[in-house]
Amino acid sequence: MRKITVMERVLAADDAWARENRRLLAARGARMYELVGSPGAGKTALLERTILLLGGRPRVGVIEGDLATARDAERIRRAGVPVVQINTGSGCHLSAHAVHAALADLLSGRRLDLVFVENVGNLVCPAAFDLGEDAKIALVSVTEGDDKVEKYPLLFARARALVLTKTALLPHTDFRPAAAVRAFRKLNRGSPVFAVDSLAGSGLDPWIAFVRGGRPARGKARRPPRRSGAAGPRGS
Amino acid sequence: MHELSIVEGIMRQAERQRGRHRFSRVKAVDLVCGPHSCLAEETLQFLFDAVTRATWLEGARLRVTRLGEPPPMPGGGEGAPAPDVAVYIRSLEVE
Ligand SMILES: Nc1nc2c(ncn2[C@@H]2O[C@H](COP(=O)(O)OP(=O)(O)OP(=O)(O)O)[C@@H](O)[C@H]2O)c(=O)[nH]1
Ligand SMILES: [Mg+2]
Repeated sequence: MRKITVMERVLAADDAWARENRRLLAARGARMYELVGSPGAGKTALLERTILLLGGRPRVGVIEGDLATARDAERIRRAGVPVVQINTGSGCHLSAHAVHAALADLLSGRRLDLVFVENVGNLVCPAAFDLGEDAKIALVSVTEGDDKVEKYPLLFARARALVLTKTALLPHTDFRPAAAVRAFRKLNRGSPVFAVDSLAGSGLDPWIAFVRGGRPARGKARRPPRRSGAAGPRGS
Repeated sequence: MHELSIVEGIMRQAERQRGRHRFSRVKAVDLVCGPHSCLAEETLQFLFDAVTRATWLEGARLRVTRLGEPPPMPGGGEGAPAPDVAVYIRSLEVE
């Protein structure tokens, strides 16, 4: 028996694909934002509303990841932008390789400024995988409980923005936005927090400004929303 | 949760190492991971056994050392994810 020293990353191949995605995006002058959140957190709803509010500038394309069905892709197509659906089968997260194929498809013969990737609904696994994105954006809906940030620290530590969704439902929940933001700040000092309701259309202006604003500012904190401040969903 | 991806990564690495050094079997794989890589060891071994059944990798034992600090990042170039989620193969015991 002998011992071979390897000292290499297990996911070296994935990382190579992630680098390739970055190279492709840079060559085409496009950014890529990845949305991560639990099943039903409102990822697709936020995309639908964002596409509507952006009104074609920047030019957006979407990659949808789900275990099965093309339902989310259908919703995005109806919103009027190009979309590619990836079905992961049993996979609990998208891989950089699958995203590469989708990206090549999406960018072929088309100019895009911003690609959104909606990962499989899951707060655990997508956090550990680099897809070549410029930013992971974490979503938590107010119906999930304000302890989620603390319970799934990896995602929130890596996120370049946190979006609290479904804030119009706050009066019907015991969700304390301040507690969620406090937990987020313990893990993540620099990334901005947004509080929105994609159906009611409230609180979206700062989010849209962030999306339009190009590369997310690292280490430059925006003030977290006060309980009813930036969100403004109450009574709307 | 994402243990299957890790298993596939281990298999790819083992194949590469076999191309470089000559050996016929792997007895053990030493893995190192950071505190946040949320690997479930039992699940990992279970999946590995299932996927490698009747292949040259059958029977290899996976040993995970969990570090309190992020593991070192040899060759971790630009674009590499934050080190706290990385899983490394430290060594292979082969014959
Ligand atoms: N009131 C309210 N409902 C919302 C909001 N966002 C999403 N929903 C609803 O929540 C449900 C799930 O929303 P989706 O956008 O499909 O959630 P998702 O995160 O894309 O779900 P998966 O792709 O299945 O993981 C739908 O019934 C939406 O209409 C919101 O901001 N406010
Ligand atoms: Mg969706």
